[in-house]
Amino acid sequence: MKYIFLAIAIVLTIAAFMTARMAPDLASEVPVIYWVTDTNPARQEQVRLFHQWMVDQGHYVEHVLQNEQEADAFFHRNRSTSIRRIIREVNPDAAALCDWADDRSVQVTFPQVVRLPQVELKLDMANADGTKKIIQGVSRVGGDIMDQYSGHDLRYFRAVGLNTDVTEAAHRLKFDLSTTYPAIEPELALRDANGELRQYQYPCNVNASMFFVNRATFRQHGQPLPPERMTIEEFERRGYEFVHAANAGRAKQTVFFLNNLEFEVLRRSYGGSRFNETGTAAILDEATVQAMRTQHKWMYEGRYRLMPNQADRSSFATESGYGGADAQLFSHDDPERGQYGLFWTGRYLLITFRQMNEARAARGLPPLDLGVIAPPYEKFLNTSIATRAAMVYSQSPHRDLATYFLAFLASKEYNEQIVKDGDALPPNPIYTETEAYRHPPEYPMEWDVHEPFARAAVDISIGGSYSHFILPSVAERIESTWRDRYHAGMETLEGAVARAQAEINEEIQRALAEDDRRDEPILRPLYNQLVERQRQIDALKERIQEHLAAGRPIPEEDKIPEAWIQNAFHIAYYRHLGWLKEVARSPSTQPITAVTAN
Amino acid sequence: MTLDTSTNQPGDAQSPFSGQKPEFPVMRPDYTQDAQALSKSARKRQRKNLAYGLGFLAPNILGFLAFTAIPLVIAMYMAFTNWDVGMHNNPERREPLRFVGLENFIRLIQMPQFWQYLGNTLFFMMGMPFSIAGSLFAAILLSKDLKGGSNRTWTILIAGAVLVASTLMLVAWGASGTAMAMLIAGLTGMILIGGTAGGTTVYRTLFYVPHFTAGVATYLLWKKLFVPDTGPIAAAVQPVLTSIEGVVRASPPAAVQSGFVICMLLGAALIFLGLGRLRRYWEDGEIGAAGVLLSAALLMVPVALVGRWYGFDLYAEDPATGSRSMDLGWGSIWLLGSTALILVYHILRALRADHEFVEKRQPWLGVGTGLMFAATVMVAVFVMIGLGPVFHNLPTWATTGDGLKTPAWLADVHWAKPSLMIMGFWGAIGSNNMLLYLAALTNVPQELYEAADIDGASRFQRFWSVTWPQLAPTTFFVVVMGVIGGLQGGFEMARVMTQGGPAGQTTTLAYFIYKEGFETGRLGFSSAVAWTLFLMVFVVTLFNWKFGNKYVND
Amino acid sequence: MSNIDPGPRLEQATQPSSVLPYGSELTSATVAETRRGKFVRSLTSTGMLHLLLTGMSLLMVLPFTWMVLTSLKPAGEVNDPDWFPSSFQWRNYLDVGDKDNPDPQRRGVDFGRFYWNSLFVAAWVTFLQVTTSAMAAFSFSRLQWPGRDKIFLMYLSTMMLPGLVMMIPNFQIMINLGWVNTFTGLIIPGAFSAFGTFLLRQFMLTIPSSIDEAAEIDGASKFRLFWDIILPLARPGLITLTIFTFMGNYNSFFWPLVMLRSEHKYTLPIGLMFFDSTRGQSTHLLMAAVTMSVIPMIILFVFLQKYLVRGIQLGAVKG
Repeated sequence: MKYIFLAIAIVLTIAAFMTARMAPDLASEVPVIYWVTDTNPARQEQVRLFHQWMVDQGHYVEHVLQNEQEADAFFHRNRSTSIRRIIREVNPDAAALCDWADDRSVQVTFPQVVRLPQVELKLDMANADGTKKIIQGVSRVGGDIMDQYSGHDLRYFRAVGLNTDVTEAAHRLKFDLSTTYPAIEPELALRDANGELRQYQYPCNVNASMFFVNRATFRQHGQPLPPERMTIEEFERRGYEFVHAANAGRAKQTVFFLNNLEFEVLRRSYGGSRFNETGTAAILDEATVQAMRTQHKWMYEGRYRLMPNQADRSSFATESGYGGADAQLFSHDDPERGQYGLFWTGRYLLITFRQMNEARAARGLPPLDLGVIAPPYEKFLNTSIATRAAMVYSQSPHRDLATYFLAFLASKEYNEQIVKDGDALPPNPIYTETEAYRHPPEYPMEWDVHEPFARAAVDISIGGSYSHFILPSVAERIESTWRDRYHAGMETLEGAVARAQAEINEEIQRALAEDDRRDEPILRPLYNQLVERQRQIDALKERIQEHLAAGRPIPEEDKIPEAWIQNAFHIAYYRHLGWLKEVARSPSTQPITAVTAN
Repeated sequence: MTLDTSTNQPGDAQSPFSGQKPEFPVMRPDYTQDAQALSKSARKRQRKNLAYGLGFLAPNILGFLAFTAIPLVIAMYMAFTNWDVGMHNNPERREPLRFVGLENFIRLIQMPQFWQYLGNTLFFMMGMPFSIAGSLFAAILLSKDLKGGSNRTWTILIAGAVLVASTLMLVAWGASGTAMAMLIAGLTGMILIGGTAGGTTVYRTLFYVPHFTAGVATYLLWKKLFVPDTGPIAAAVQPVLTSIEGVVRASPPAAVQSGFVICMLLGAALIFLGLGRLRRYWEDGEIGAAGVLLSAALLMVPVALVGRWYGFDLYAEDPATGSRSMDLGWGSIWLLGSTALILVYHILRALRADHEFVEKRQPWLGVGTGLMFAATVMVAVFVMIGLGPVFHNLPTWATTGDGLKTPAWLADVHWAKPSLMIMGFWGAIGSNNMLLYLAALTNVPQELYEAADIDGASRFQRFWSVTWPQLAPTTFFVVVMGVIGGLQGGFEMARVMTQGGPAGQTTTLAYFIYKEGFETGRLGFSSAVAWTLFLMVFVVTLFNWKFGNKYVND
Repeated sequence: MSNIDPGPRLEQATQPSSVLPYGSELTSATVAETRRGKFVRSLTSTGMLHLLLTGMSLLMVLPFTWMVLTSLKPAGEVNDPDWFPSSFQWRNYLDVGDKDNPDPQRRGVDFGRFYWNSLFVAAWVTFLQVTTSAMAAFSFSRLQWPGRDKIFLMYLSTMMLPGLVMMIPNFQIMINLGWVNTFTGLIIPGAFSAFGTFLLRQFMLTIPSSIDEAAEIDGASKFRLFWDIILPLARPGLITLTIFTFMGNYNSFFWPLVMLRSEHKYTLPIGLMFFDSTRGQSTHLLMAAVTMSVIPMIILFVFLQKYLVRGIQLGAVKG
């Protein structure tokens, strides 16, 4: 047995040497930054565009190689496969030189001019887990550019000190908030202690959620196509007709009207939000109660229901990929296996639909016939908007170079690539007004679809509602736990709402108590200031109610100033109601106009 | 042989891991750690032993200290601070860590979700004895060396070949309607052939197959199996339920509900018999005062909980017809009352035992046996209490709505945990525990079996007196690792299959630590939760350590 | 070594066991047994045993079968409830390593390198862990020294804390040592585990102490006792630990994920993650990759498991 032991030891040592030798050569004179992102094949193309853009914008280092020795030294310094590829891509005129680098027998005339971008971008796609970003981030070895998903991440990462304030750079390099959708401002920027807006990220893409309509499914069950805007009452009426017709006589329901609807959108349409106007406390009022009751009705009540609940959902297959199983069920023609009439998602699902259309064409089926409609509403038409945004890691040794990447995201080349790719909406809204966006030549069946998404992102979308004093993930977890308990029958409706509100407020107070114990409290002064503001807002609201009761128009001085309100929902809602005293906006910013209910 | 009194042999009956029967000649030295009592040469030897001991330990313990012990101590200390990633790991500002004492623990205890998650964790642990038994059974089956070369092998081989051939033909002709059945037949055939030709090697590999794939693939598959109504498990169980429903509908409701009464009677009978056995242990001098009290307390846990589950409503009124019928409250009253009477009866009888005999024994004697016995009876009583309402409500369930239907498994609030336990049990059979038992079984000396045979032992006796004691060290390992794994586990399972739902029913403490810690950054609080896990495991292990040998030697 | 008499030895032969050396239940019957009766009984009991084992194996194997069948499906069929693919796509297994394929549904990853990395790390960790654990287990079980049991209890208790809480302090230590994004950082921390020590200690405890005494009489040093006597006797335990450690490390996902940043160092579980593409269904490739990744473990297991059971009979230690 000792021989086995020795043999294994020797084999392993040899293996160690082999592994060391097998490591690829990474020599390069250009600093490298890492982009921590998801496993989307389009990223490679975006990286290539970035390097090209850097050179086009003048952020490059130029080398004039006079003779063979200099060229040899240059290529020796830049040995890694990735930098060689970049040299080739970015210097089309020096193709011969690049060939010469690999095969010295190629003929080349000197001097040659070669440009290297100031920084090399590499992908880090093992990004399944937010935990990894946090652990590496706090240990000062995080990726230089990290993808963030909406305002949750923004606030969490800011709390841990991992993202960088890029406001000045944004103005200088032209990727400030005026170049993107106004509605996603809460997802990209935070107000500091003085009330000024500080920007931390820039969107890689933007997504407004709407309903896709499978027109073929509606026709299959003999139902009229739904209009683009509906009240909840109308929605329910059409919905129940749909499910009754589609499931007629079936013991177990397999066809549903819609697959899902974001709770926040529903609640906002009843005129409520999670927090009050200043984010100092949670106000789960009548709107929350009504939204939960409606959701419960759609999922659990009646012979045939509009929306599947968890048990129904697990009857369908489960897989990964965009949209997962729901997308499959939305798009096929077999009611026995499960079907949806409406699908709540963003424009990015077109990627999956395009693949499905290819498969359908191969089987001789016509492509999907899709339309887009807005979510139903009770008092206030709205939809949600989200973004995958990029931020610069605060401890990165190449912060300034990484900031160029954010500027790249606002560039024409990047936006056009997003438009062509169909991967949600481009960060800059003016690129949605192009023919390339609205009427992509290869996909004529999509021409009804692109424009409503873009319009929704500008017209009716509202960003998230946040509070300075509680992490969004904590608040969401509290609410969804109590919502689950209500749906499971373990709690009454009023009880669940009351408990959720109490718990959120407890958390807020706990954060404040913790802050009080610091030598220099940060949150408490802000809290006191905002509580005072809230009192003033409430006073104004009372006056407004008096005016309304008396049937008078609301005078200017009784309107609520926009600068006082932190909650994006209330800004949009009060504007819609005419209660808002607006801030004069700089001309380059597009105003949001909420559409009146019709 | 030396008469070195400072050594403690593994064969010493006082050591908890004695695996041999006392008839083997062993020494019974007194191992004392009191250095002063030893002579100088003994002390020198002790130092030399220490050198050897630490010398062999050195490579392991150095790495262990560096990579396990130090982070562990840090993490455990953090439970008493207000460690928050946002405040203390923030690269932009460093705040001083504040010691908060027991504040995290107090907040934890006050959180109702903590108790729910603790209950979930303990519930999952209840399946452990069955898992261990299952893996032991599998190991015993697989320890026989089945290699054959005689006629019957040929018979089996031919049968298998026929099966496989027919499967291939049908598949080739595209009869995919019965594809699943053919698949199963084909697989069975192939396994049979492999088993007879290759012997137990093949079976062992097949049993261990679930563990080759990383957990995620298995979890995804079980998610598919547990699909409600149309999934394979539901499809298999539904016919059984339908036939039960038929029977129930055909019988008068009172007859079915009498099952509830029977369950209650059986429950009381079990308590009577259980307490009686404990009393007899006491009278025979096999158990001490502390032991009998703890065991009796454990036995009566179900009685303590029955009021909460059944309520105390004596009558239920049917709103439609206004008629009154017996409700579950009778069960609570019956159980509580009868247990009180039973207790009084047994205590009186025990008090009439021989006083002198009683006073002489130490209180912790036999506590292991007593608790094991009491735990078994307790589970049985739980089963009775659980079945009672089932019988009681069966007529209603069978006649209203859709009748008896399979539940929504993972999505159903009441069935999520049992479904996961079923999956856990499947995984446990062909698991690492099975391998351990396989290896340990070969270490059992053949002579012991032959001796048992000579004595005319039955199969069960042979197992209980020879095999089981020899496996004691392995069982200790399996139980401790099982408790550790059970209390720490459920994390990957929850993440992939249920995300801790529905309504927090499948969130274990381990998953809670992860969610709370990395979602909010409050790792100090997470460490406090980890502490509670640690304490529970520690207590169980210590208990096993001290009292396990008593059980083995009983 | 002297012959230790372990107890009353049976000289008279019992009935020769049939093919079942493990305490054959057949032999406990009376001596007078007809040949045919014995044959029939052995036939039925073996046959039933086979059937029982087959049935249980079937249950164990079904998920694996689903995985292999799914790996042979064309991309669009992965979600279908039908287990059988409409056509067997053997090329999926080639696509797994094809990382430059323009077709997104057929694009793989740098599979060969990930495979090598995983095997390399797992082999080293197993080797180191078995070695150090065997020495430590020897110390805890065969040697006597003051404080031995208390330290062992401390070893045990370190396993009781969930690893998640120790993640950040652990990572800090790695950074201070400069082992982030290196293979050293993957191997060394994994090589020291209380689990291995615990396991081997329990195994070593089942070896009777008489052997130690005999060795001491013969004048063997502690090291010879360890190397020449105890280790071979503890072979089933060593084999078991090898299997456990190798498999555990081969499948470990979270620690390499946090530690590694260079793609050429990624291990297989991380690489498999790339198949869970957010664009289109690559589940068929994922299943093919998982099937291929399982092969080393099967080979290891099949090779080792016969050593597991063919342990040395204690009765053979004489002379």
